[in-house]
Amino acid sequence: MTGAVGTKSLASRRNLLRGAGVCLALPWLESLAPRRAAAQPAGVPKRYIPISFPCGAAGQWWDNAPVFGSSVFGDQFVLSAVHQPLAALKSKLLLLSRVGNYSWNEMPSEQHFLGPSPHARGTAGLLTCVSADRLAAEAGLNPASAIINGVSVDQLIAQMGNFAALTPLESLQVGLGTYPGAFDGRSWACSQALSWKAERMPLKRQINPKAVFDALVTGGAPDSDLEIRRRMAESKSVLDAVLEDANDLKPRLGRSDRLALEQFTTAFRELERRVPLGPASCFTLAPPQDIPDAAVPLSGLRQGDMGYDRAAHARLMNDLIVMALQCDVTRLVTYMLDDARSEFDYSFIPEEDRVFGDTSGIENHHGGGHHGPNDVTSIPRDGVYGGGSNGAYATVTRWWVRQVADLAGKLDAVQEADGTLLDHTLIQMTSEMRTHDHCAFDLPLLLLGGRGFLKQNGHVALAAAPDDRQLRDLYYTIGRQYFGLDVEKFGDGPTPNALIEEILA
Amino acid sequence: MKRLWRGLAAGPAVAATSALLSVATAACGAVERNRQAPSDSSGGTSGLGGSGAELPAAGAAARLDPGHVPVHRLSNAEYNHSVTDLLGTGLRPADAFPQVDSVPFENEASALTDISEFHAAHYFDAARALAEETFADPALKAQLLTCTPAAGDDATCAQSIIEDLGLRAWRRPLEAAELTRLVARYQHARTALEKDHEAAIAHVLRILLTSAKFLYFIEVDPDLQAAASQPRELTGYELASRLSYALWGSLPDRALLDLAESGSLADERVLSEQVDRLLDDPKGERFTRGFFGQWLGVSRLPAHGVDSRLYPEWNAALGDALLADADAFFSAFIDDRPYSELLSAPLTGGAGAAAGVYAQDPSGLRRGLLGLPAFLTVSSRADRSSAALRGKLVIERLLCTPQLVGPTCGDESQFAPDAVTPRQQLESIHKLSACAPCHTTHDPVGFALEHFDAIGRYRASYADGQAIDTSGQFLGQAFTGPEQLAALLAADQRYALCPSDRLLSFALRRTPRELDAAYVEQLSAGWSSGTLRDLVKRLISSEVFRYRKLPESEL
Repeated sequence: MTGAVGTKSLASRRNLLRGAGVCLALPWLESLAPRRAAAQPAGVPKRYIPISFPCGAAGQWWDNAPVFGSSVFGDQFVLSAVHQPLAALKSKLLLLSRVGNYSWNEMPSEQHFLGPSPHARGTAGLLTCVSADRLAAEAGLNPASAIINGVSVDQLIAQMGNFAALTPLESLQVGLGTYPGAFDGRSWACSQALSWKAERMPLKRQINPKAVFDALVTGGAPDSDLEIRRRMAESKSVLDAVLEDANDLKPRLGRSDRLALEQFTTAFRELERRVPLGPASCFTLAPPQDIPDAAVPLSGLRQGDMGYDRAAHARLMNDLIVMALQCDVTRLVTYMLDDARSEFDYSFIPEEDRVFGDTSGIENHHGGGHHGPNDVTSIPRDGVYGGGSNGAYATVTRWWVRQVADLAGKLDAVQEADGTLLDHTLIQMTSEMRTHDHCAFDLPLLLLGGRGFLKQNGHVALAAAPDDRQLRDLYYTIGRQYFGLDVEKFGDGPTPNALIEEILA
Repeated sequence: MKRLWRGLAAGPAVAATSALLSVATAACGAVERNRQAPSDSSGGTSGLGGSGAELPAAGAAARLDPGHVPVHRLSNAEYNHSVTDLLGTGLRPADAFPQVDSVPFENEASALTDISEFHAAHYFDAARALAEETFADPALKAQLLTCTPAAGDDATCAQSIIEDLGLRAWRRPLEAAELTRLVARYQHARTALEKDHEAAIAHVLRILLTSAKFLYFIEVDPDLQAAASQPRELTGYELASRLSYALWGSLPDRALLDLAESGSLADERVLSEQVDRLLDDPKGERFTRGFFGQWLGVSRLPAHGVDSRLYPEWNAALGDALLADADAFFSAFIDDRPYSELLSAPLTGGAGAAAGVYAQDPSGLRRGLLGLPAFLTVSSRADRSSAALRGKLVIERLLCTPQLVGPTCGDESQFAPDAVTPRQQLESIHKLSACAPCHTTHDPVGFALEHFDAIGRYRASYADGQAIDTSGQFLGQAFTGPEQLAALLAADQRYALCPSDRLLSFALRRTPRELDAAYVEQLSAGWSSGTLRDLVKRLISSEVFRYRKLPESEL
C-alpha cells in the first residue's frame, strides 16, 4: 500500500543501529565530564522545548497559587492533582502564575479576552507574542486565510544563536494532533504551527514519528566509507542542480511565487547542509521501539482508527525528542500535544488520571469544555476567575502533564556532563488560554529543568495588579539570561520588555 | 504494534468555502444568504463573522478578472499520478509523504505553497528511489533510453533523451540554458561520478524529479508588469497542464504536448475534442472520483471509522465496494444524466459486497445522492447515524454554503441520557445557546435521512424498536422524508450554482475568490439541466480557465 521508499532504507538502517554502541561519540562528553560548575559547563548544549496544549487547563485544579506576589518553595510547595504525575520531578519543577499573553491583543476592552477566533489567534501568538491579525491587516490580507505571523521565540534563538551551524537540524517541530478540529476561522498555520521561521514561514508540526525519525538519521545506511562518499557526491550534484534551477526561476516570478520558491530553496539547502554531516551522531543510538514501518499518513485518525493509539504515539514522540537531544541533532524542539481547538476523543485516558469526578464531554476535547454547567457563556471575563471547568478537562490536562512528565523523566535518566539531559534542557508547558473561558490572563505555565537558570521546586506567583506580567517578557528572559543572547525586544506590548527576575536562580 | 499506524487516512473535512456565499458565513447556522454572524462568540465558532465583513461584497467588481494560479506543489495524489504516467512505475512514493488537510479540494494551491525540510527529504528520497527502480526494470528503462550513444558521440544521444524527458517531466520544452546545465550534469556524472551512460541518465532523471519545476505547478509570466495590468492568454503548454491536471490529476501526455507545441489548443474546437478525449480515457475516472468524491465528501470513506462491534458486516472490502458504488453513481453524471437528477436518479442497487447494503430497501425510498450508501456512511458517526452531521454535510456540500466545522457541543447523547430517540437527544441540545445555532439548522435537515443507518442500510425502525420520524424543516419549510427534502434543496438557487463553483475551484486549484462569483454565474446560466461534460467544456473554454492575470500586489 505504501511505497517501498521508506521501508527499505529503514530496515537497513535498523540493522546498522542494532550493532552500534550507545552515545559515546559525542565529543564534549569526554573532555568536559570531570568539570563541575554552578552553571552549566561551557560547551554543554542548552536546549529549549516549548510545549503547548490546546484550549487551556482545567482552571480551578491548576490554580493552586499562593497569594499573588508571593512564592513557595520546597516542602511548602505542594503539587495539585493535575500536577501529580510530576511528583518524581518536583525538585526540578517551577510553576509560574500570573503570566498572561495579551499585550499584543487589539480587543478594545477586556484585552485579556482573546475575542474572535480565540484558539487560532492565541495559538498563533503563543510563541510570537504578536497579533497575526494585525500583521494580516497591515499586509492587506484576509485574516481568515492569511499565513502571516511574527518570528517565534525558538526561531529567534536559532537565528541569533546561529544554531544552524551547531547542529544538523536547526530546530524540530513535532505534535500529536492527528485529528484536526476546526481551524477556528484562521488559516491552518495558526492551529498547527507554533514555530515561525519568518513572517510568512510557519513550520508545521510533524506528527509522523517515522518522518521525525528519518529527519534525525537522514538518508539511508551506507555500507562503507566509499559508498558514503559516492552517495554524498551524487546527492550534492542533485542538490546543486535543483537549487541552481530554482534560483534561476525566482527573479521571473511575482512576490508570493518568489516566496514559495524561496521556501523551496531554504528547505533543500537544509538538506544539503545535512548530507555531508550524514547521520553519524544518531547512528550511535538505539532507535526507539515501535516506529511504524513506513511513514503512513496519520492525519485524520481518531483513537482506535486503524489501531491508532494516542498514548503510544505520545510515548514514541517523547522517545524521539530524547533521541534528538541525546545525539545533539537539534537543541530546539517545539511540541504541540494536540492541535489548537482539538476535538480529539480522549476517552481512552485510563483510570489513573480520572480523579476529578464526572468526565462527561471527554469524547470531544474542545466541545467538552463548553458544555453543560461550564458553558463558556457563564464565565465572567473581567480578568478575575469565573466558574470552574469540568472533570473531563481536568482529566485531559492531567494526562498531558503526564506526557510532559514522561518526557522530562526520560531526559532526566540520561546522564550528561555533570548532570542529566533535563538539567541542560528548559521545558516549558503552556496553553494559549487560561481555561475554557478564552482568556489569556494567568496562563497555565510550568517550567522544568534549566538548572542554574531557574529557581526550582517551587511556585512563583507574580503580582497581579493591574495587569499580568507578559509571556513576551518570559521569552525575553529566556533569550537573554538562559541563552545569553542580546535580545533587545520580543513581542508586542505597550511597554519595553523587562526581565522576570523572580524566576531566576 | 506494527499494525498500529497502518492504513489510509485522508484529512477530515473542514468547512467548505465558496464564492457563492463568502459574505454570509455566519456562525454555523447560515443557510440563509444574508444572515449576519451573531455577535455572541461564546461558542467559539463565530470567527468568520468579523473577517467576512471586511471583504468586498460579491459582484462588486465591474470587470472580469481571471486571477492566477500561484506557484504551489503538486498534491500527493498528483505526484503519484505524474510519476506513474511519466515513467510507468508502480511506485506510489507520495503515499508516504506528509498529508495536507486542505479545502475545498486537496489540490488547493494555498495549502500547497509551503514546504518544510520533511517534505524536501521525502521528495529527495522519492526521486532517488524512482530513478533507481525505473532503471532496474528493463521494460521501463527501454522506454526512456531512445538511443544508444555512438562511440565518441555520447552527448548527442544523451541530449536528445534529456530533452524529451525534460519536456514531459516539466510539462514544457527545456530552455536552452536548462538543457545545457542538465547535459553538463550528465557529463559530470559520466566523469566525476564514474557512471556509465545509463546510470548518468538515471542521475539526470533524479535531478528532473527533485527540481521544483517537476514538483510544483508553475506558470511564468513573460512580463510581470504586463501580467498585472491585463489578462494574458495562457501558452499552449500552460493550458495543456491546467487541462490534464484538472481531468487526469497528472501531467499532459504526448498528444497534448504536441497540440501545445503546434498552438492548436487555442482553437476552441480542438480544446473541446481534448476534453472529450481526456474524459473518455481510463484516466478520466480520476476526475470523476476526485471531483465528485471530494466535493460531496465520499472520498473520506477509506478513512472513515465504523464501529465493527455494532456493525459486524463492516470491513475494508465493504468500504471499497461502497466507494465503487459511488463512483458508478457519479460517473453517470458525466454524460448519461443531467445534474438536475443528482437527488432523484435511481440507484443501481449495488454490485458485489455493496448489494447487501441495499438488500432491505422498500421500493422507491432510496434515490439519488441522499440515498447513496457511501454518502450516508461518511455523514455518520462510527457507532450511529447522525442527523446533525448529515444535515451539515447536505447544506455545506450541495448548497456550497460554508458551515463552520465541528461539534462545539460534543456528543449529543450526554445531554439527554434518558432520551429515547436520537431526535429527542438532538432536540434537547436545541435549548442550549451554544449549540442551537448549528443544531437547529443542521438537525432538521438530517432528520429526513433517519431511515438509513450508519452504513447506509434501510431500517424500518430504530434498533430498540422506536419509530422513526423523518419530518424536518429546511429554511422554515416543513417536509417529510428525503424526497420532499430533495425537492426543497433543488429549488434553492444555490443548488444550481454550486456545481460551477466547485468545478471552478477544482480546476483552478483555489477557493473561489469574490471575483469568481461572476464566472460561476456565467458558467451556470442555462446549464441547469446539462451534464458534467457540458459544464467542464464551458469552464475549459471560458476566460477564467484560459487566461491569467496577476494581482498588482504580486509585483
